Amino acid sequence: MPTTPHNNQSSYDAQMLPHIDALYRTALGMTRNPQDADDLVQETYVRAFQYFHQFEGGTNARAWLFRILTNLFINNYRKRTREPERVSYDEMEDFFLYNRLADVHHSEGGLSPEAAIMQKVEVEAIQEAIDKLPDEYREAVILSDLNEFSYQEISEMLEIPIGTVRSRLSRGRKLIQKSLWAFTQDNPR
Amino acid sequence: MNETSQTPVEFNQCQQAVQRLNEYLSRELQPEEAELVHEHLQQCKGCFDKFRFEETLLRTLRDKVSSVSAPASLRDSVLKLLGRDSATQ
Repeated sequence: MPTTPHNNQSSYDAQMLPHIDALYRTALGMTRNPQDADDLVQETYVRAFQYFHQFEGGTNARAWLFRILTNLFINNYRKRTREPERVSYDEMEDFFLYNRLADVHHSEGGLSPEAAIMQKVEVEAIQEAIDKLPDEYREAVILSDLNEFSYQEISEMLEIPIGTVRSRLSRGRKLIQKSLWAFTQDNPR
Repeated sequence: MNETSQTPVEFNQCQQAVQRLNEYLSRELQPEEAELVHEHLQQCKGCFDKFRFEETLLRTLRDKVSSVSAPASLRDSVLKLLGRDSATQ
């Protein structure tokens, strides 16, 4: 199926294939479904191969792949009927999780908030917290906090203004803290 | 404005730092703004502890999630789709 000349194959492989783990994690976070994540990553690699001649060598292969993946996700997987959340999260307190853990630390002793986070938060809790986020916030959190793309890059990938990236990230982070706190309450260790 | 008390000034500084928390965590602050936040964090233990917690939390999330890898079957599928004969990488 691929039509890129053979001598481009090794260049493509060397630049694109090392990113498969990060792409898979992102696809899994966005689709919340392993089969869809598999399909999305495969489509991303095929699309990247078809357009590899447009990729400028020396530029950021990872960002280029993520742009393709995000674009495919938005067009083919994201539920189009959903209205953006109208609930206001702005009243959620800053440092929600720190304050809860500090309360526990002061009343019961034991782990400091920082130590508690490192010891108690497992990958399952994180995935659950991210899965529970509304779509818009989830995309921003995955691209920013898990993959460290800049606001500018995220703005281009999701085709939203930078101010929207900022507000979705702020709310997404607060909601994650709420979920993590609930998880540690439900799963004491 | 004539400032007669330290408390409102300090409160104001904390508030200004907290307003920049998300951009601080994302490394999106302009250098001079980042410097202001750093200066405040050096002077205010309350904010220092909270900001450090938020940084640790984000790093923990990133580190723990990055332990998830693509399944071997997906690597094979991608290599096959790309027309590679050997799917043994």
